[in-house]
Amino acid sequence: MPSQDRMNMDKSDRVLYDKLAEEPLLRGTTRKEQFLLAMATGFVHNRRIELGPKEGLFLLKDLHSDEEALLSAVALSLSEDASVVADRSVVLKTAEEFAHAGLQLLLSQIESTEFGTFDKHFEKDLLERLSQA
Amino acid sequence: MRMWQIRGLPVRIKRIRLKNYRQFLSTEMTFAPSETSDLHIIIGRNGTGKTNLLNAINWCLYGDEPHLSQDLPSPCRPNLHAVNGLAAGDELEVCVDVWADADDGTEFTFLRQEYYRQSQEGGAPVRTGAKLKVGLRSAGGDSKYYFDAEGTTVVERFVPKGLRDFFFFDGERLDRYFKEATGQNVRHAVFQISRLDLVERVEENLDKLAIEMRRAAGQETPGAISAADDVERCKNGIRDLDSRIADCQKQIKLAREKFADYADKLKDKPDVKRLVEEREAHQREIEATRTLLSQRNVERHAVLVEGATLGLLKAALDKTRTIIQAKRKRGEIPPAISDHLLKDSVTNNRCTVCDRALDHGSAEHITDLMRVLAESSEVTTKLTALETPIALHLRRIADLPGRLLGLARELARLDGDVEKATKRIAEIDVTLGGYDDAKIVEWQMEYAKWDKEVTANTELLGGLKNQRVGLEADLEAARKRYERALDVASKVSVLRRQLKFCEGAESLAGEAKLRIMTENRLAMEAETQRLFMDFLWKKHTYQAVKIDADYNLDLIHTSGLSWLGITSAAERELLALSFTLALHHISKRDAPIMIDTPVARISDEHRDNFGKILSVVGTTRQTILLFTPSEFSSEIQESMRQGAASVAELTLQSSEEVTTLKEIS
Repeated sequence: MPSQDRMNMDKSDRVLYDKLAEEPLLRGTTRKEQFLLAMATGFVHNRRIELGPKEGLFLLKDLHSDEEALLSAVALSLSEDASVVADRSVVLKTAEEFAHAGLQLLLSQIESTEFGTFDKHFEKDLLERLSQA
Repeated sequence: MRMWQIRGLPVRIKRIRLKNYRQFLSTEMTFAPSETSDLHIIIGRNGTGKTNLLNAINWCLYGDEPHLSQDLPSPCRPNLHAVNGLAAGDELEVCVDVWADADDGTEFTFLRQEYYRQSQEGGAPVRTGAKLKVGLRSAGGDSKYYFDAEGTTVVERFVPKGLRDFFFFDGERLDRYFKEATGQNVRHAVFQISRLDLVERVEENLDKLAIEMRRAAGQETPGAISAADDVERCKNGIRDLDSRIADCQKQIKLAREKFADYADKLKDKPDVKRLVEEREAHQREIEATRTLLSQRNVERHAVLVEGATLGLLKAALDKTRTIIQAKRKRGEIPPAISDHLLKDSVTNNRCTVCDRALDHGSAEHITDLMRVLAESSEVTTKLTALETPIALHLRRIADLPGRLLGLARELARLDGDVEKATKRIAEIDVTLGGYDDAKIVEWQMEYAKWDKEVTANTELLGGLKNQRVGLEADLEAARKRYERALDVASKVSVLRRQLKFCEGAESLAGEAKLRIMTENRLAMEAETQRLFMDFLWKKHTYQAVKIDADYNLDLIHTSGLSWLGITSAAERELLALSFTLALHHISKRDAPIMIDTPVARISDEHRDNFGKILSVVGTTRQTILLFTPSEFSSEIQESMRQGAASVAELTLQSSEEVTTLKEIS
């Protein structure tokens, strides 16, 4: 089986990513950046959903080593077995599932705020979260 | 019949007849004095021909119409109604006839006629001829007539053309007189009443005579020729400089008037040029700040998205770092060191880091380390590779609140700058609201231009005066050289004596001129002060009227301070009227005075006072006043009408071509 060359998303997420890109805070960001934020959102809410039919989102060659480290950290934090970092397919699958769930969470947060004010709420929540961590 | 003398003799106009002159098809006005007054009031709306009455007298006496509007094209002199009735080849006569009486019973008639013929092609009639006829009838009944140039000589004895502005003028002149270059105006007036034109001609001829004598003496003593030439050159140079100085002074006067006009126009107006520039600068600043704001917002969003990704994963990053650190503690991860460095150290038997020679133990330790590294698993390699990025991510998370706070502060500052600039623009818009910006900027440019013109010409004047001082010194030196050259030739002694006499006479004429001017200046000062103080309704405000050696007129407040620049329009006009009447007195010319719109520029509160003063003037000399109905307010009527010898009204007929006069009291 050939190794995975792209990050996947659930086919139904295409429209959701398009919608996410319309939010002023994320205007001009790449699919990779949107994916990483979605993954982080899914992770912090401990929500992961297995992907249905898949579709490529971006090429893995575009993922930098420091970004890949984030994916490994997510996978490693869920398992007591450090060997998970050596299994790239698990690392990628975990990231895709958190991103799938996180994307929906992000969009529901955006929809719950008045248009144009999401960045303010987002910043406030983030700073509160960091001050508590 | 002897040439009559009018100076010192009261004269009054008893009748004016106008035929086909402008609005007046055929009008006759008589001005009979009452027992107590010789004040005559003529009321007429704008366009009925009040100012043209002033023009008619000027045209009759001097052949010009100085009160025509300079801003509008002047319609032809013949009455339009009369012109419309002309057939081709018809002739038309335009005439103004002024009848005057002197106190000794002498009667004068001044008649100016102009003839026109309607051409075959139609249009305006063509002027075919003109003449001035002056009639003189003594109390004894002898009559004599003077025509054209000879008639002009008689007119000059009635009211000299150079002084007419002090007898027939509009009220605006009273308002304007001391706003403009007073020194020039007052000097001109004093010169006119001093009748120094003859002295000036004597001076000029003495100078010409002196030049001829110097030349004649030079023929006898050739050595003196070049010195005489130098004297002449210096004198010509001084004359030329005097002319340039006079031009320069005129230019300064004009520039000061223009400067004052624009200063007046700009008074209480905002500094539009500066405000428009400031507004444009704020608009540019807002644009630039908004661009910066947009850039900073994009930056803030990028920091927020990246920071949020990392911040939300902080727990995962912390846990990963803990796992790696635990493994390293347990020795499950070799130290982070480069395989190449270790190999090089063993090969060279020298530490690649500190450059010391390896002892046996050290070499063995490095070899063991290389073995452990080679044996470490892929997991270990991956974990080792995670250490640096995770440490960096955690540092970024730690820095994130500071970065976001810095950006928020900068964004708030930029927002504040935009708000401040927007507020200032709104303030400027309010200040400029209702003004014609372009017009005010144009005025400001003119103001600056004339200010520059005054400065440039003042500097030029200083330079010219310095040159004149230099030329005077040269002239003195040339004269001495000339004297020395003549000393050797005894045969020119007669010529020398004559020359000396001639030069002495020229110098005395100059001194006499100065003395007469000074006497008349001081007499004008005293008489103006007497009349002004006598007329003025405020008796304790001013202490004196001064005309200094440069002919600058000033009004001195009781505090001793100069007050002319800040006095009210009514007081300023009263001062000009006092000056005018003083000039009549000093010049010994008791001629009529005619003023168009005398109180138009005086505010209501002072009109009454001014009206009373004009009534008083009307008891001492013939005074003809031309009012608009609005100017002839109820207050003015109350103070003047009772005392007036006659009141008449001008009415323009519906055709708008003919004005009629009706006595109303």
